Parts: sequence; C-alpha cells; structure tokens
Amino acid sequence: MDFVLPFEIVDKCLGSRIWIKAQKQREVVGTLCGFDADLNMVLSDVIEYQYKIDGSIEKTHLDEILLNGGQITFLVPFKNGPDEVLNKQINQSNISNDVNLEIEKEKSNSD
Amino acid sequence: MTSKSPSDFLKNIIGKPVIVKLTSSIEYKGILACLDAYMNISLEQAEEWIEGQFKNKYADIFIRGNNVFYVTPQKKRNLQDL
Amino acid sequence: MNLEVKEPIDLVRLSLGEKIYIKMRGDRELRGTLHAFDQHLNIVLSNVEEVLTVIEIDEETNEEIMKTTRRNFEMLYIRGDGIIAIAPPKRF
Repeated sequence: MDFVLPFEIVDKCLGSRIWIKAQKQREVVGTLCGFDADLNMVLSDVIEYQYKIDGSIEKTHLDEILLNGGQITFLVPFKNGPDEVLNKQINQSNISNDVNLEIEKEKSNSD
Repeated sequence: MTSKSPSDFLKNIIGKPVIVKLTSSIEYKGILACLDAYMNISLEQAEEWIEGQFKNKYADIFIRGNNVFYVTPQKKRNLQDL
Repeated sequence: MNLEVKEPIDLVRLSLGEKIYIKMRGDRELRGTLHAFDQHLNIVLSNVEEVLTVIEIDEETNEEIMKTTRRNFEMLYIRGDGIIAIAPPKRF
C-alpha cells in the first residue's frame, strides 16, 4: 500500500523532535515521548514559542509537558522549530543569491 | 522505542505540584488532584497567574478541559518572580 | 452522597447549593449559588453577581484603565462552553 495514515506519521516521530503549531499563535517544539488517540502528547525538552502583539517572541523551556491534542492545528515531523527553518531559509537565500551571481557572471563573460 | 503515553505521564504527576497553562495567557499552579478524559482538571492550593503576574489563590479549582494547552510538573516554584 | 473527589466534576458536584465563583471567557466573572449543572458544565446559578472587566486605553495618556461593570441577576443559565474555571467556596 502506498498511502500513509496520519497516525503512522505521528508514530514515526516517537523519539524525534517535532514542531507543533497550536491555536492562538502558539508553537511548541519537543521530543515526542508518547501520544494517545486524541493526539494528546507527552513531549520532553520542550521550547514554547509565544508570539506577542508587539512582534516579540517569548521562548520558554520546559522539561516535560502533556500537550492537549485538541489545541493542535498542525505538526511538522522531525523539525526543530522556527529557529531551524529560519536559519535554513537564510542559508537557502544565500545559495540562490550565489547561483544568481554565477549566472550573471556567465552572462557578462559571454557578452 | 519505549514510549511514554499520556496516561503514564498523568499517573506520575497526580498529587504533585503542576502548572496548567491555558490557551489564553492564564496559568494555574497547584497540586493536581485529578483529571478526566476531557482534560478537565481539578487543582488544590491553586494560584492564578496572568502574564507572569499573581492574581488569585483558590483552595480548590475546577478547570474546563477545552481551555487547557498543556500540563507540566512544577519543578521550581514561581520561576517568573525571580 | 460520596464526598470524595475522584474526577474533576466532583468538585462541582460538592458545591451544589453553595456559593461558587466562575471565571468566564471575555473577562467575565460570576458569583452565585449553584443549583444545577450537567456534563457540558451548563450551569444554573441564583443570586448572581456578574463582574465584567474592560481595559480601555486613554487616548491622551496611553494609560490602560481597568473598568468594571457589575450586574445582578436573580437566576441565570450559563452555557458551559464559555467557562474557563470554577472555584467552590473554601471547605473547612
């Protein structure tokens, strides 16, 4: 069978970092220790991100939490949260700039 | 992979000091008396904190489960007021 | 009646006939005598005092001003989904 059930994805995440987007501008990143049928999750080594009205981000570290599955909007498996993605985006934009430079160089050479 | 299910987690923290964070900016710190499948929670000797500020104290409090964001064991008391 | 608290809703059950405090969404607080409740936490209260807190920002000074409005009701039916927390009176 070549389809995957949603819960299989969550199951694959056991023991790995997982990035969860919850309601009301809240995000948490943690290591998935366990979950149940309602998608309540036990997470360890957690960072909670709260986006404040003034644009600042409040980060809180927590050793272990039980997250209410009902508050989850979506989750990103094997991701270490907003920081990792932001860094990657910056790196990628550097790469694409480099590529553009290369192309421009080639252009100017051929001219 | 040994997993720790939510019910294992709860068995370990009943009767202990916990922090219950709601989806709004309210936190309740107190002794976890019990909870049910809806994540309705009852705390004893609960303190209500809103955005890091102490607001109220209750001998007992019932928290409706739909508002709960997470439950975590309270390691150090009142980290916020350090 | 069993006086033990085995599940959270027992805390509400033990408060039947007593004055309780309810914290509602939208900075609303209620105090009144608990008459009835169900599994959704729909509640009937009597002799209710409602306190509504609104934060207004003074346009000139940019200061936050807390304004409270109080209302009284003889009897009130409260829909459970607006409830955040319920605190029973102190038991001795």
